[in-house]
Amino acid sequence: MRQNRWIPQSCAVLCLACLSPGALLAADSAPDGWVIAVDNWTRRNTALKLYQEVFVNDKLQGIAGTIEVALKDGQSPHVYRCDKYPCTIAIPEFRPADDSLISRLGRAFRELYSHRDTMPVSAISRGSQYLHQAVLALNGGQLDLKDAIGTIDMGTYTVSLRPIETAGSTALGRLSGSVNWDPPGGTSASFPALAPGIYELSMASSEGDSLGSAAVLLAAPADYPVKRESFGASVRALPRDLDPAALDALLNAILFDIGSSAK
Amino acid sequence: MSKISSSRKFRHYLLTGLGLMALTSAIQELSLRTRLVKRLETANLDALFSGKERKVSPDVVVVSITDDDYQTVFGGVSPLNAEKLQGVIDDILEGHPRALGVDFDTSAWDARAAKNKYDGQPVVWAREALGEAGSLTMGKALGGSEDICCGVPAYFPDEDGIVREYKEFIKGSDGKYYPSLAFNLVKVAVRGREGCQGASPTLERNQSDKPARVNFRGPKNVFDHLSIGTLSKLKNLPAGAAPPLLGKIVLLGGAYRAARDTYPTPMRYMDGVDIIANSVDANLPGNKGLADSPVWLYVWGYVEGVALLVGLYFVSRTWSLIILVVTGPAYALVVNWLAFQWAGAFVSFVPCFVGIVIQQIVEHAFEYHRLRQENRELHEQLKRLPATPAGLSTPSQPGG
Repeated sequence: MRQNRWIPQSCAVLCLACLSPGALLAADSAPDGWVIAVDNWTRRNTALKLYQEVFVNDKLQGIAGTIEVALKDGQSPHVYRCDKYPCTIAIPEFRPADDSLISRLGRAFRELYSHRDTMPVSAISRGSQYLHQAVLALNGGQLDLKDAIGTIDMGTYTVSLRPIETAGSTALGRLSGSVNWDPPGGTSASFPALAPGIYELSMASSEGDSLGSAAVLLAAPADYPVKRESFGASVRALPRDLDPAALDALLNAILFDIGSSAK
Repeated sequence: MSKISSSRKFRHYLLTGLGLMALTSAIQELSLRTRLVKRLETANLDALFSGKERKVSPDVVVVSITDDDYQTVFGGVSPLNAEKLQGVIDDILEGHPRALGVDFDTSAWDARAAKNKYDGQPVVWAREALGEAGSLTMGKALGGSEDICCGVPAYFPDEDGIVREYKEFIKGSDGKYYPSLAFNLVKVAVRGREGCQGASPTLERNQSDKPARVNFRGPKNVFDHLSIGTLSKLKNLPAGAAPPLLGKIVLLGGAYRAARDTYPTPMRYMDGVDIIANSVDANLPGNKGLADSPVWLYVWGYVEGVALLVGLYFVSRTWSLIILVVTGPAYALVVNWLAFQWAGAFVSFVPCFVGIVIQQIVEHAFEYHRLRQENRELHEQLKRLPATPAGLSTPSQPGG
């Protein structure tokens, strides 16, 4: 029996041909990460659930509590906390940016005509050349990182803080944020739920390269000048020709001493 | 008569051009062995890498041990605790990868227990090459177990200290050829565990122990990276969610600073495991390794050179200059760019262009010399002429 076609066959083939690239694109949309712990958070007004997929640049709205997101960026899972409604965080960019042929050509010519900086190889087994121990000012959820960071390129970096010893909340897990490093203006990262205390500061570039980690003491605005001065005075009193490993241990000890003296 | 003369002239022009093209090609072949040209070559290669389109690899995933993992899971102790590392490997294998490459030193592991545990699994173990080039001895993998699949993660820095080369096979001091980790990982991924190749006294025709360039896909972020902290949290993904390691080629390596496994590459500093990931990705079927240009590409370059040489004969001097100085290099640049981006190949027009430019210069020089000679002869003839009546000796000046 012959069926009546409500769409001509040729048209159907044409439509399928036009739709196929879309289908391919849809099939290619692998997630950039997953929600691995969530309290009360939403995305586009829909409540987020455990193991829900997330994508780069997704805007997540927090109502209360924390959300932990595991991304394919090679970092530890990212924890975001919302203490005061509304909170909005964006999944940080870590994928290679889409770029045009012109920008690729520009990049190639820059590489060809620019002088390549010498790429040093550090013979030290531990430690970080970018991050170092410091007392940092925590002011209204804004953490100024400038004292803890050496010379790094301008750009966006992932910042994470793991509490080693906190005065406020010892139960707080690792916190993640990002900083658009552009000194002297852009040196602060936003951490709304952060309490003063001693933390392990870790940073990574947008390409996922680790800048290492260092212990830092976060101080409230009222305590910051005194603690910073106290740390500076102790550092200045140290002998100059100390072994790097010994210096690292001593700076940590000084930081812990200053941090614990305030309790 | 004039037809024969112009044909002879064309033949002379063509033969001179072809001869000069052959000469410049020979000079280029010799100069390729000099340090200066090698430096120029690597600078050009780095620029081509920089201009590559950066897309995330759909095949290769890196599971890395970060500084945080090193401290929290392994207590900041090197070498890493074997049991804990095996726990990570078990977690990865539970994700059903197509193949797993373990870029850790497993020489001190309990051989029997480890072999029994991972027997039949699609795992390729790293084995260290010890000593200096030319007298390399191979270290143990998996506690010295026999009949396991392993590969050498060896890379060879260029004279400027930047890692751009690897070898498919590495010749040991015992005269045997040992496959690289990247080579065996690709074999296991494509043909299964049976595809893995052991040490052999000879190489097959399509295998090589010569250095080959790594066709870098891009910087670190062109591969999905999972820290082991993330991996452990994703063990309980529900059935509907796409498991991140299912059907992928997974590389497990260290990204913690104490591992000291970071090297300068054309893509800046890169962890050793990421360099292996780039080599694996480039050697997968359908992807482009950087191979020597095939013979037909050389022939094609010469055919184009001959066509250009012939074409330039029929255009004016002005146009030939424009074509040679502007259009030619631009065309060579575009074709080179496209050949590298699409096929990982290099097309060299330099010998042909240089040959043609020299030929044009020689032609110009000859013509200039001929015109000067004619001019001199005319002057001499004018001098020899007797004094002419007024009004005939010189042409009248316009308006004069």
